[in-house]
Amino acid sequence: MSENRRILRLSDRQEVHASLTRVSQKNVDDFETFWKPRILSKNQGDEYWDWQYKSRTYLSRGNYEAYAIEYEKITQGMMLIETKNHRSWFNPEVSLVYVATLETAPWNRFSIQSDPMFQWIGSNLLRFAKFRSQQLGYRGSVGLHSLPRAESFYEKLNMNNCGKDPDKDNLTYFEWYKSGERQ
Amino acid sequence: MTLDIFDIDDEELLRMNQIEEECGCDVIAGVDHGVNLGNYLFEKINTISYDELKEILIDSKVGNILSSEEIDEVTAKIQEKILAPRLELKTYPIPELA
Repeated sequence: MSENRRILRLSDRQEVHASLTRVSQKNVDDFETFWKPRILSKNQGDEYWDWQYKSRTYLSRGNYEAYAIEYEKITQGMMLIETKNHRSWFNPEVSLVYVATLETAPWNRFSIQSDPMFQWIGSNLLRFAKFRSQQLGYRGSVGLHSLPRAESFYEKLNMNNCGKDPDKDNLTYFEWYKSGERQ
Repeated sequence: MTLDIFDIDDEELLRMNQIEEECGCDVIAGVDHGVNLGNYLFEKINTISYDELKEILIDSKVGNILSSEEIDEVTAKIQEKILAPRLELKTYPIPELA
């Protein structure tokens, strides 16, 4: 699977074409080689996220999927989703796609550099999670736990703020929920 | 949008751009006990079950360096060293018969 995605190159504000793919060993290697040293040098809250471990542990299970966005053969963002076992905060009978991890490359983060290289990476990945939810018959319902510095983003996307979750490091849980008939 | 093709039209892209510009923040989500593992374990320790404890260890950095058997061993040792004394403290003395 590889799909063309439009992302914004901020240096000249031009749209460029990136590709959305399933996470491969190449993406994991990019994380180890290019991302990790930069993330570790900052207090980012995701210092311990480890894609080597995630891909080994989760992707062997049938209920997890991982996707990456690449531009010029470098991984710009990655997302791990769970597709079978999570239920809506609003209605336990409604299944949803749970975004277990969503992150962009350190050079695309405002918190690391004032002039990030690309935008629309995280938006594209999150929008794809919604698309997968629709494909799976979950009506676009998506849930995630936001790191504090990203909460305003999910609020502006009209995700429902369900409050802090004591079981998940007190991170705020957000959900796109589509009410309707039982699944 | 069909369910076969993932497409974001221009209008939606503009909206996405506007939101990212307004927020000026990273797009990031997910839970990782990582650096908070110690505090997390401390909070959970009184009520945690063997399976929960094992799951936390597997999901943490520890799960990356230990084998499944070693995780089992560590889980059992944590229970033995930390939980058992606490459980003993919580037992109530048998009242003496009058």
